[in-house]
Formats: sequence, C-alpha cells, structure tokens
Amino acid sequence: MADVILSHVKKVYGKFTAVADADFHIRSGEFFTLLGPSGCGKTTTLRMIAGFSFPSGGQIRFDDWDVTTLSPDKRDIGMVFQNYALFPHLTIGENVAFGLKIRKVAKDEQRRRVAAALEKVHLGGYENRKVQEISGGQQQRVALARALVIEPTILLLDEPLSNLDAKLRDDTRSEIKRLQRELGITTIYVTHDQAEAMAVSDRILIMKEGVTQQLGTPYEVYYKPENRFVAEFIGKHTVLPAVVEKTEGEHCTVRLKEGSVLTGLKQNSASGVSFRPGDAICVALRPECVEPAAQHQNNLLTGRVIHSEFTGMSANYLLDVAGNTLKATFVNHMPDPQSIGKSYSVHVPVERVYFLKGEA
Amino acid sequence: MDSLNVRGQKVRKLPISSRPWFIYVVLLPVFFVLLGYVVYPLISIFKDGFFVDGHFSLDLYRRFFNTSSMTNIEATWNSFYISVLSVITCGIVGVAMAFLLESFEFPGRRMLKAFAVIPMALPSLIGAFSFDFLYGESGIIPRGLKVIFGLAEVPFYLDGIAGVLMMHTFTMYTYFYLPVSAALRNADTSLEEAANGLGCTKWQVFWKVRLPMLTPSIVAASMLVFMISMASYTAPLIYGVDRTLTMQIVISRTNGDLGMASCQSTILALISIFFLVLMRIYEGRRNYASVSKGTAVHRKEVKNKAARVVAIIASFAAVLFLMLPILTIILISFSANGKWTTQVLPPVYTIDHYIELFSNPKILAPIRNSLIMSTAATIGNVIFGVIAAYFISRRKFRGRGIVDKLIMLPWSLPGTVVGISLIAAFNVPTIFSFGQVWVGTFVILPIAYFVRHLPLVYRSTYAAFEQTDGSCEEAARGLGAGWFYTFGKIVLPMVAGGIASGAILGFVQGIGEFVASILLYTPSSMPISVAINNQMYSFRFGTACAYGTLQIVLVAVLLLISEKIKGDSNASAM
Repeated sequence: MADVILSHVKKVYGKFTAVADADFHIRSGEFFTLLGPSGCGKTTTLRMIAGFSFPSGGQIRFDDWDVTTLSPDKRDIGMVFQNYALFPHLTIGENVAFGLKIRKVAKDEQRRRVAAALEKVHLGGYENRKVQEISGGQQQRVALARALVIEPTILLLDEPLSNLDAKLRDDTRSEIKRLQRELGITTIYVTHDQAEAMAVSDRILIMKEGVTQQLGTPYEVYYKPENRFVAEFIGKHTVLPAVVEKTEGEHCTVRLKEGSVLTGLKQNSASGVSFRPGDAICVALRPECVEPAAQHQNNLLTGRVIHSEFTGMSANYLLDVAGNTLKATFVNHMPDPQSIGKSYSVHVPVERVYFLKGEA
Repeated sequence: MDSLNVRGQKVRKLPISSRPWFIYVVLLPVFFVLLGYVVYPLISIFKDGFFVDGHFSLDLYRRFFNTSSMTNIEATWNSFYISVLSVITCGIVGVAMAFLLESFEFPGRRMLKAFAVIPMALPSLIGAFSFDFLYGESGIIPRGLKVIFGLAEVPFYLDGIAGVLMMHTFTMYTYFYLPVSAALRNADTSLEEAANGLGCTKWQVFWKVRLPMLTPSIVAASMLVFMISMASYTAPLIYGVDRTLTMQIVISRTNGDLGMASCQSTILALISIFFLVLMRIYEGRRNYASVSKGTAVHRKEVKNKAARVVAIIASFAAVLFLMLPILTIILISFSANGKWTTQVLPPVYTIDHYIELFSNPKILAPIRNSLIMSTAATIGNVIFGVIAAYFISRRKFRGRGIVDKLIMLPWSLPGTVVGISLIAAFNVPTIFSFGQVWVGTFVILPIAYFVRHLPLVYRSTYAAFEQTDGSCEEAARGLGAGWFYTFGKIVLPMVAGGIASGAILGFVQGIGEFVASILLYTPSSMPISVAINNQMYSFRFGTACAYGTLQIVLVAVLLLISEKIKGDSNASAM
C-alpha cells in the first residue's frame, strides 16, 4: 500500500500532447478513477504509472520512491487489462502463480496462495482448467486474482469491464469494489463510463484531451461540476447561455437568450463565476432538476417538445428551448403522447439552478 | 548525472530498452543480413549489367533489346504469355474445383477434397519429370493408348509450351482453389438470401453478389500465379522451351556470360518486383471482410441417381489423375536402371535403389547435403525471422516498413535471379562474405536457401504475433518478470505454432529447391534435386525416382506435422 504522487507529469508524442500536466496525489488505500472519453489521456497516464511508457516530463512517486523511469517489473504493481491478457498457453493455476514464481515463492506456498486467490474471486478449484474453457467474466476474475495474489503495492485496472456484457459488468464491478475494500489496496481505475466511475470510486479525475478537468469525489463532480465539459459528461446537464440580471443577497437572477428569467443561489456555482450584472453566465440543469410547471409561476422554461418517452421508472422529455435541447426526466409522471411539437413549460426549483462561467 | 531513489535505483535515465536507438542496435544483425544477402546482390547484378570489361557500357542492354537477334525479346514475350495463359488455365481449373467442392454435395466429394491439394506436396523438379514420364512422347499414357488401340504412332503427347502450361496448371491451380474455396466457405449466405429477397434472380445473385465477393481472392491468386510462372524454370527446362527469360539466364550463365545473365536477371527482377508492389497495393486496398459471421454454407445435394454414379466415377478419375505423378515416381523408383526402353511400363523391378540410397556413400551424399543445408538455412531463418517479426509487429519505429519490405522482397524474386545475384555478389571477396570468395564453396547454397525462405518464416511468425495479444507481454512484465524471461516464457510459446509452421515450410522448400541450386552447387554441396537431375540425364531413372520418392515422403510428413501444429494452435487460440 502506498500513496501515488504524480508531479507535473506530461507525455508528448512528436507534436501530439497525450497528457498535458497530470498533477495529483492518490492517497494510500484510495479507489481512484481516471475518467474521460477515449483519447483523453487516461490510459496513457495509467501506463506511465505502471511503467509501460515513460513520462516526457515530471515525476511519479510511490510514497517517496521515485519510479518515474523504472521498468514495470521493478514497480511491484498488479495490473488488470481490458482484454484480460491471460497467458493462453498456461492453465489458470499457472497464470495466477506466474507472479509468485517470479518472486521465487516456495512451491507449497504458491499452491496455497493461488488456491486462496481463486477462492476470493469465486473460482476455487479452477487451477487446472485452460484459459479457453472459461467465460469472459471468469477470465477477468482470473486476471484479478493473478494481479492480487502477489499482494502488490498498487492495483491498476484498465477498463476491466468494457469487454463484458451489461449484466456481468454490474456483478464484476461490485466484486472489484468488494475485494478492494477487503484488501484496502490503493487502486487506480481507468474507465470511460461515468456511471461505473461514480459507483466504485472514492475520487474521480476527469480528463479531456490530455488536460485534467476536475478532481473530486463522485458527489462533487456530480453536484459541483467545475466546467461545461464535466457538467455535460457527468450529470448530463443541459447548459444554457444567459446574462446576469441582478443579485440579491444569496440569490442571483439571470435572463436566458429567449427571454425567460431564472433565479438561483450563488453558492450553487462553479468556482470563478462572475455575478456582476450584465456579465455572461451559463445555467446548467440536470434532467432530474426540472419538474412539470403545474401551478408554479416563477423559474419557468418553455420549449417545444421534440421527443417524449416512458421508461417505466421515469418519463423523459427533450425540449427545444431557443435552439438548445433541454433534457427533462420526471418520476411518477405519465407523459402525454400528444405533446410532440407542442409547447411545454417546466419549473426549476431555485436551489437546483447551477451556474457555470459564461462563454464568450 | 543519474541520481538514486530511496531504494538505490537509478532515476532520470530511461531503461535501455526504451531508448530510441535500442531497437536499431538489436536489429543490427537483421540489417546486416538484409543488406548483405538481399540488397547487395541485387545491386551487383544491376551494376554488372552496365559494365563490360570494367567499363561502363549499355552494350548488354543494347544486345538484350536488339531487334535483329530476337532471342531475349522473344524469351521475354514467351515468359509473359505463358504466364498469362497459366493464370487463365489455373484460374479456370481452381475456381471450378472450388465451386464444385464447396457448392455441391455428391458422393466422392470428401475424397476429392482431400486429394485436391496433393500437387502442393510435389517438389517442382520431380513433378516435372513425372509429367514427362506420364505424358511425354515416350510417356506411359501415350504409349499405353498406342498399344491398346494398335496405333502406328502415339495418339498425343505433351511437349513445348503446351507441356509447360499443363505442368503449371497441375501444380499451381491450388493457388486459386484454396483462397476461393475458403472465401466460399466463409461467405455469408445471408447476403445471397438478402439479394434474393430484394428480387434478384439466381444468376443475378451469382454475378452481382457471389462473384464480386470472390474478386479479391481471384485477383490476388492471379498475380501470384503470374509471378510464379514468370519465375518458373523447371517446366521450361523439362519441355525444352529454351526461349523463356529464366532459361536464357541459365544459358547465359552456363556459357560464362555473367554480364548478360546479370542484365537478364535485372529485367526479370524488375518485372517480379513490379508485381510484388502491385500485389501489396491491392492487398492493402481490398477489404471485403464480411461484417457478420458467416453462416454455414448449404451445399446443394446431387440427388439424381445417374448423376451420382457419374459423380463418383469422375471423382475417382480425378483423384487418380492427381495421384498419378506420385504413383509413377514410386513405380519407377523400383525399376532397374537402363532396362526400360520402348515398353509401356518398366519391365524389371528391384529394391536396389533404396538399398543404395542408404548404403552407397556417393548416393547418400546429396541427401545429407540437402538435410544439412536446409537445416542450417532454417535455423538462420528462425533466428532472424523471429527477431524481425517480433520488433516489426510489436514496436513502432522509423524504418519499420522498409525492413518489412526488404524481408519480403526475395519472396517475389525468381530462384534464377537469386542464384545469379549471389554469384555476381560473391565471386569476389566482400565484407558480407567476411573477405572470402563464396562462389564455388559450400556456404553459398545455404545462404541462397536462407534468402529465399526467410519470407516464409517471417510472414508466418509475424502473423502469429499479430494474432496474439500484445498485452500478455506487459502483463508478465507487470507481474515482475524481466524482458528475457518474458520473451522466453510468454512471448515465444504464444507464437511457437507460427514459427514451427513457417520453419517447416521453409525447410520443405529447401529440400525440394532446384532452381538456385543448379546455379550455385559444387560437387561437395550437391543437393537432392540436382542429383535427381543428373541421374535423369544419365538415364538412371530408378535412382533418380528413389531420390524423388524420398523427397516426396519427407515433404508429405513435414506438411502433415505442420497441419497438425496449425490445427492445435488454432484450437488453443482465444
């Protein structure tokens, strides 16, 4: 177990900057996730922590141990790959024992620890099976056992669930989380799936095009996105440009392009937002923040219904509000199938209005 | 300056294997070999074509393109049109066989399918001789017909260009048959059903859907057959077609005119390289991989009783035809030397030739030579092929494409060109031959085999690397294994099947090699094929065919082993 510290790490390929300035401190025992769309530099960052590629600048430390340019076999890591990377010519037992064999653990001890590791991932007794004989989900659990059996300082997981089907993905996800909690091992997890990241992580680092966007707990990145990218990527916020009208104490009132006026609380905002009257500002609304207008008279938004659907748990609407598509999700609500093309008003409670920096 | 971290490990310095120059140092031996044994010999023939008695001159090319003595132009033209005709005949036979065996279910189908690839196991020289024994002017079939029907003359025989074409068709139709039948097997029948559903008639489905899907394999096979026909030497040799480029090259060399041989080789090499480039471009473009998984092909069952009888008879006849060359060689291998004159079949039989094969040191020597030289070449191929395949497949570096193309280059070069170029390069001391003259020594033949068969081992290993998961190597490193341990215990075992099947193929080619051998052998390094040729020309047919039978058995056994390995590694691939 160790802290993992990246100081101003960057990775440049020719003219292309894969990772711009990764600078963060992962605490011992933490479940830390690198999240972002493909090409955002999350996997590159993970590979530098593992030692499969080396930073163009900056420093990587495990506690006070500088591993920046250390080859992967000297780092004492456990890594799980997207495509499992099980050795096809070895049995499951031999796969799991591989790291122990390298560490010259005694044969008996090896056998005991392999059995225990397989037991932990619910594959007890599978030692002599061939890799090809078991399912994808089981292969991924073998890969997990192989990474954990050596009791590594840190556990690295590179999109471990993306090759599994939806049902298995949920099961394996909770399995990984359970194991991590039991062992208390520092874990770095890479994924492009924000729901997956929210469910397992202690903290999430969101990246885009090599640049860190926000670092925070799932709660923080969901409720307090720092910028438009995080807002849209995590909470599926609809971002509407507006102009500050006035501020009164804790409240701020803004006017949207098409004329509607919304009031919110100044504290519900990203850092650095200017509330000077006349300044540009953005309003970010999560689908579940809006409700049907009903009797409400204030904080109303009106748009044309583009699409409505009923999923059972919720009714989802897409409204065209002055050229922006507003997503609205209502629970315990029956949608009106006749509403498409018609005008529809929604109400946003004052405490759910969220402000982002205005865009030029 | 390097500083040490808390555990006393050096930091601020990349591991050696991650430095940009590392890969070039590791590949240095590969560069040396490619430069010395592929590039330099080609430059040598190119250069020799422009020098007469040490002075720059265009004389040789003037002689080549001389319109008053048309020899070379005629030879080029012959080579060209024989190749075009070979493509057509091989294409018709190969595609028809593929359709027959993949689209219809009839009695005898499985047997015929099993025997369809027999010609691949026939080494070129012994194959050509067996054709002459069977269908030549004094061949078994023409004479047999003459005797049976009491004719005054043999009713037909194969000779000249017709003979060459027949030989080419027999040995090369598989280049069409195999890819086309694979394409038919993997074709997605739902596409045809979709076309049917959209209102296409059966014929429209065939012309608009089925055939276009086969076009890539047919075009690729056409180029391949064209290249191999251009390079063909044994068939024109046996059928006495002197006016082909390959024959002219050997004739020039035999007459001691190395300059002319170099000039002719250069032109043949350029034609071959042109087709290699064309093929590579075409392969790069074609992309018809079916989006869905192919559903099982429904073969149409032949139900008519009469048709079934005809089918089974025809299948047997076809299998007999495919097996006849091998059976003939085996038969003649038991015939006493010098006793077979005008009879239909050899009159006197003996097993002496086989006893001789293993008891007479002079007869045994060529077998030993072939085994030693092929083994040496194959070991070299495995070492260099695996190193090159590993780095080219797993690492990205500048010059990767060039190394790949240089390794594949000899694959497109005719054996005659390889032979002449090695002579041109190593009849003087060079740094690549470590200051020795190699022509006339034992080493030059293994070098020739090495150059010719490196592409086979390289390609096969490369394909295996591409099919296996590169992250397994990283997984092993992550678990604490060093580079060498990982390479030995993880990387190599995963591609062992590919290496073995490439090595076996290369070895088999070495055992059967004739074209470069005839140009480069010395009495001390005479290989089996040259011995067969010499025995045939001194009318010791029995001895020659005993060698041939041994060759065929060796080749067949090795190919079966290779199939087994391939089957196993397919079964264990994820």
